[in-house]
Amino acid sequence: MSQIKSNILKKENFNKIFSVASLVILIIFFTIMNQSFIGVYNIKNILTDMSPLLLMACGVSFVLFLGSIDLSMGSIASCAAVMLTFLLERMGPLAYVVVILYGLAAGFLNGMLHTKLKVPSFIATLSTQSIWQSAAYLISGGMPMVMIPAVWPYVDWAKISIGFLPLLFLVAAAVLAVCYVIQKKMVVGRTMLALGTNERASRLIGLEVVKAKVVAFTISGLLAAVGGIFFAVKLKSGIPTVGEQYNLMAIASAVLGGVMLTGGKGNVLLTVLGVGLITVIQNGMNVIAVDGFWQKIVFGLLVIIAIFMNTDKSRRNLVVK
Amino acid sequence: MGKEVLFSAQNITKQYPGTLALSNVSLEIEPGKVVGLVGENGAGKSTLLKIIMGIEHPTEGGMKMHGETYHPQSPIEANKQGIGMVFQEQSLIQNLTVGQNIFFGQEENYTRFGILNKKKMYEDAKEVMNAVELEHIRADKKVSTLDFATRQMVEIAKVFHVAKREDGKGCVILLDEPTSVLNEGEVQNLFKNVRKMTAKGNSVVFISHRLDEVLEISDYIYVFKDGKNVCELDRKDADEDILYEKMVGKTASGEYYQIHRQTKPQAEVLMEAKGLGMRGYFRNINFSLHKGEVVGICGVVGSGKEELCGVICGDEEATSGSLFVRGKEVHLKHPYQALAQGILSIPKERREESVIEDKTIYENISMSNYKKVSSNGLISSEKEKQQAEAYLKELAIKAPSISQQVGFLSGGNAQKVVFARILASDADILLLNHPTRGVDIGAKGEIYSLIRDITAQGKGVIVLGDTLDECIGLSNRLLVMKDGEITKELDASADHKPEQVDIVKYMM
Repeated sequence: MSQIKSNILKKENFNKIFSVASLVILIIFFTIMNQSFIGVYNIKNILTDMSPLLLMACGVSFVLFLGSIDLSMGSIASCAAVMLTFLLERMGPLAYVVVILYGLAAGFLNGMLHTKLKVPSFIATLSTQSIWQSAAYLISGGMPMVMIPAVWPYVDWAKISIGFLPLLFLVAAAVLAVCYVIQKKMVVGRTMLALGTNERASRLIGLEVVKAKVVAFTISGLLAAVGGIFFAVKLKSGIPTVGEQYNLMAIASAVLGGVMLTGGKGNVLLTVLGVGLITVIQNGMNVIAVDGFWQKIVFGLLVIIAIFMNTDKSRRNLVVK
Repeated sequence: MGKEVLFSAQNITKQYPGTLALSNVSLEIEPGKVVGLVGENGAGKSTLLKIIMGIEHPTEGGMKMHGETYHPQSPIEANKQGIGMVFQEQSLIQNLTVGQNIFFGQEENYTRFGILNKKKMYEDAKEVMNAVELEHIRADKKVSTLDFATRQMVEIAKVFHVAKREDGKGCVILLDEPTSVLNEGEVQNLFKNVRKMTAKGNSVVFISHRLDEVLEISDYIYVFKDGKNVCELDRKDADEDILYEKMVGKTASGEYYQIHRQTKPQAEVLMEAKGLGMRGYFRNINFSLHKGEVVGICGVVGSGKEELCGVICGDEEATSGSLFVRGKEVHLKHPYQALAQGILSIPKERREESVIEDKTIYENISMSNYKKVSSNGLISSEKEKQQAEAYLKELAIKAPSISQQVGFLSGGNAQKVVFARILASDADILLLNHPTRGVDIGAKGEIYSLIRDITAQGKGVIVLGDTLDECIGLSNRLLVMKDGEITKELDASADHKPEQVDIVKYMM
């Protein structure tokens, strides 16, 4: 039996070890290719780039804990970015509140579709993805929207850094810490992990299963919207396709950090490993000037590798989902 | 002994991690005979059947069929050798027809150019059904439209068909609790078929908890207890009392259930059901549960007791009547609402329903009451671990540490973790649905002792016993259910325990 146990431990740690090792190797590789990679300017750049992905990976982790999936994050982020750009001109800083409320509502909607209408999360969020993507196009008229100089004061906070740590990154790190507390210290977080392993037992144990599911989707929607805000303030514009890639990247980050797609296992803190790895690859490819289309191919492959490594084949005998 | 043997098993031992399921069991089946297997749940009967069917493999020992070494790797191989089994849980595919089920896996015999010739299949199915006198069941009917008893008969016909040997030699049919869902007439029909099969030189192994049936149909009977084969009896030498004594190991089970520690119920009523009903399952249920009382609910499968249990713990919704907790009417839709009222259940299927296997012991224990291990609204792992350490000692849970995943524990220890969670929950109306299911004999005693402790604290317990005996032994009062109604309420105070037979007559 001890052998079984050590195998499982190995399996669980495999992705984390892979992520850390790859991260180190890549940093060395890109530094050799181009000295400026390790410079303060580029580190700041990487940390800023990481921030929205960190938020979204963190959010989707909760949904993955359930054994569900959220495919709408990318378009919620796009829509949020466009909404912020659109609303800042019209209502000033209040726009932030509206966009955050939008994120909560969009996530809550996913949760309700999944739990009350019993639509599989895959389909529910695929549908809402389409809705929010279209909303983003409609608000922006299908074109990138640029913020007028009059609203720049409201978005300049994004440029602030404390030492080499950008404020955006610090905000993302704080959110990460809160998520960790939710996962480890709050009943709702514990419930997500329990029901991801065994929903029937969780229900009979007396846990509020439906509530935990709705909360997980709501957090995911909220953090996607905050990710969208980050995109908008960073670029001073609302691009209706800005979040497109991020569904895949957020899920890949979570999985590279050891979150199981089958549910019940993972740690939000470790998504930082996956996020780091993906951002370094992306940034590094920019630094050594790899064609943007090739980059997409690299990411696609990376996701497949990450998920392949994280599929625990032994589990199929225990749980059928 | 010189007698002819169709099938034999010699010195079979089966070791699971943590439990010895079978120890040195031997068995001989003569052609044309019905062999009864009796024993309490967990005595090893099902394991033996699984080994015979090739689902499990023995740790030690071997088997012979028609004098040849028999070592099946799968049920299909067992079928080819002439051994078939009707499982306790029905294994027909509901949305296929009777004929399709009978020839499931043999469709290639009825396929031409990839198209199934249903007509021919149904004709053949008719023949198979006729062989067991089930002419009245149409082969083109969907299984989902048949009632439970008919399905059972179809399954028997199917198994009889698949186990037929090509060389025409006798085959062995294993029937695992085939009568639990049948009524008296259907049972007699089944027995008629069994006798017909055996008249042709086939043998039948019959497993049932109903000793009278075993005595009626069997030629000789093997008694199992704690994974051992305690004796082999000829039908002539056996009666219910003898069998029972051999199964349990002692007749007076008072000490076993710690009846001397049975508390007298207090006057205060914890819970009361008034006219409670759930459409299609049970109706007009009235009873009350007092502080310090154990109420046992007895009934066969399908009597509605499981569903009643489900309604009380909030897993199912009642469709009529009302439930009062401490005098106040409650409407429960989810188990967490029941828990808020102090009602918590230990469900029947431990692995699927009461533990989270990949979580640690300490996490499992705190799940039904996080408040107890929280400060300022946040769960403290320090407190969780302290709580778990305390229960580990109190309940003598055998585990390397509280950080062990529950899935790695043996049945008895996992169940003790469940009890620890129940105790930590501070719920005072506990529904124990087969609390000792799949638990070894030592841990059973400890669980009985725990139940006595629980009632001594003034909590109320509703128990659906693993055996009728257990139900009688533990309870202050017994409710007997049949076809969704309470047919009898019996007093079972410490000095006034009813006999099993008195209860069984209200169950059937």
